Amino acid sequence: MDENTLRQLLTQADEALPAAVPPEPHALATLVRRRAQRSRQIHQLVAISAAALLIAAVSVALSLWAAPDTPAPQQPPEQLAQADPSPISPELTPAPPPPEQAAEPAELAQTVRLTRAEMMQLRSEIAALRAEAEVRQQIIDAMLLRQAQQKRLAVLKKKLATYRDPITEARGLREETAAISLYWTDTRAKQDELTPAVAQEYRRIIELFPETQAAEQARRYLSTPQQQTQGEIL
Amino acid sequence: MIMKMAARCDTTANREVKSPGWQDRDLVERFRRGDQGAFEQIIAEHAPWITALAQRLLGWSDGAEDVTQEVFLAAYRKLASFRGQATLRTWLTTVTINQCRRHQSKRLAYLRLRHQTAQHKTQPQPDEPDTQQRRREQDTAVRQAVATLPPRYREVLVLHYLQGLEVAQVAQVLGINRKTVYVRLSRARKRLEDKLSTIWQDR
Repeated sequence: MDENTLRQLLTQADEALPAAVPPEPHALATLVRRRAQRSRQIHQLVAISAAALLIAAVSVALSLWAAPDTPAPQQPPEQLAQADPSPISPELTPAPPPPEQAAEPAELAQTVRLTRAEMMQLRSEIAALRAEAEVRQQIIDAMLLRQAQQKRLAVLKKKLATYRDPITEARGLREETAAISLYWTDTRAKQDELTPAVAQEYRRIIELFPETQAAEQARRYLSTPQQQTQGEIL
Repeated sequence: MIMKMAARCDTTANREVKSPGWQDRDLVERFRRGDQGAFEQIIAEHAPWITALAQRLLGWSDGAEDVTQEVFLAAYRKLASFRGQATLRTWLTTVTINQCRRHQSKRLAYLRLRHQTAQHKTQPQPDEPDTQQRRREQDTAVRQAVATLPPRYREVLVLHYLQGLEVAQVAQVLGINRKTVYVRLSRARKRLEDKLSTIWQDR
């Protein structure tokens, strides 16, 4: 077959059909830009959805893994003892089953055979449970301590509310002491009349307890000693 | 025989493929800078070539417009990373070939192709003169023969004989060496000879 003949045949067959019309550049460019933008948005949406699904799956897996009531596989007691020789705190030790439900250890040993990987997994699970129990115990202790502190604080506040003002209390005591001193001075004055010693006692009351009712009364007695009576003093 | 064919097909086998021109570099640089007109200019310059190539590679069936759109969509996404090691037309030709392969890999498109080629073959034109009708049947037979070739042979035939690329350019576009192009051309011609033996005898 001649090459020119082949070329002529192919060209002739190609030209016999109407040539495909190329698209209008502006329309095609607009269409291409729109498709590229839509494709980009779809890719972003898919990426975000995939990330959200992954996060949800991981969180579900973590919650399932950390669930405290996950049933543990049954093990014969002797294998459990071999798996974790360290003692387990009494709080974490489950209650023994009733006698009628408890299986015979020999029977369990025959029916359940644990591989080394399962033993390791059980050990890790027990360690995780122990750590979790310790953390919870610490939290409970802290809560109890805080509760006791709050109770004591409430008692102290209540007690504090019953106390009087110390300044008012001191003033009252001062007035009371001055009145007692005045009373004994008046008693001496009744017996001995207003001797210089009694007058000195009145002056001393005025000096020691100024601005009290007893001091005013003492001043009054010093000026008019004949009018003094015990009832006026008190 | 292969070497003889090679000598006949391409006397300039050792010719260097043209390096990308400054127009291509300028257009790509404008596109990178966000010039919207650059992409439209690329479409205006290369869309006729791309559409014709797609139509021939798809066996003169429908889908050339879809492939053209896909080609320029891929170009829009990847043009910023165009390194300029080949001309823009060579790069777009490679993209077109890949898009045509993808398009033809769909089962539906294949069935449509067979249906359309059967329609071309059976269209009756009773009022035509015998010579015209015979020529039309011959053209249909040639197109059907090319369309039913395996893609690797159809591609070299279309690129070399219909698109006018030289063997070195065909090799660059397809990512194969020149000897492979010669071998594929030879086998494509042989297969066409078998399919069109009646036509050769008439000529």
